[in-house]
Amino acid sequence: MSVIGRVGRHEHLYKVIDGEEHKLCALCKQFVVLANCALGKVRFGGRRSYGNCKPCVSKKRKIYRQAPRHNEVKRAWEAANRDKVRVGNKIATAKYFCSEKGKATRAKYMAVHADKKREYDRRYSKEKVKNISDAYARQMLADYSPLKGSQFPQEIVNAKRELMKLRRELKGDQYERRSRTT
Amino acid sequence: MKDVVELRKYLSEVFDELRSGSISANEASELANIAGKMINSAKVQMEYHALRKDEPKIKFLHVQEKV
Repeated sequence: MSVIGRVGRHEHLYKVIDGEEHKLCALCKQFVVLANCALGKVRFGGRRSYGNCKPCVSKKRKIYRQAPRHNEVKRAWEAANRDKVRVGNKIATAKYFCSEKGKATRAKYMAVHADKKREYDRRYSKEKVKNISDAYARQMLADYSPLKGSQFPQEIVNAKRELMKLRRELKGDQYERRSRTT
Repeated sequence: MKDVVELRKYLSEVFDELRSGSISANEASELANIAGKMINSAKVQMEYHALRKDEPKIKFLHVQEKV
């Protein structure tokens, strides 16, 4: 950090207390340790000039976020730009999933809820087979094939599903006849 | 049977008829067998083109469904 900010007309904003550099907060009018001042990279001295202590900044932002007018404007914009919001959310989620924090949180959750996850996976897999979902039909098409399931067009997937349904019905019929004869 | 959409519709009809009992299980089984062959042959065609790395339009598969 440059020393230029501490001399001249900004000198009164800075003070050294107990060997640590402090800056005057414009909101609470108190000298705060420089590390607790909100960053303002483009500002003089590298810190925000107004409301520069972090709690004050967060308080100010909270008030702004909760202001009814701000909420209305935000909701109106979100309603008008649903696609943008969805894309933004998707990107944010993907970023969070890839971040160290996201990975750690997921690992922590998995460690605690491993049984729950296993149960969910089992149930999902059973449902997939029972309802002949797209994913399952594609999986069946991709068996013994150099193509991936996602490479098959939707039309052939739908036809495969109908065929599987019919075969299941026939199998059920066969089983019924077998059970009747035995 | 011109395309895969027609095939799907036909299979759906066969399924309903089998349930209602208007066709026998053997007949439905034969039809399912033929449908399976048709789907598999289309699949083989797709695999062939994928391995050759060309993307021709397979008439049987690329159909615009009428809404």
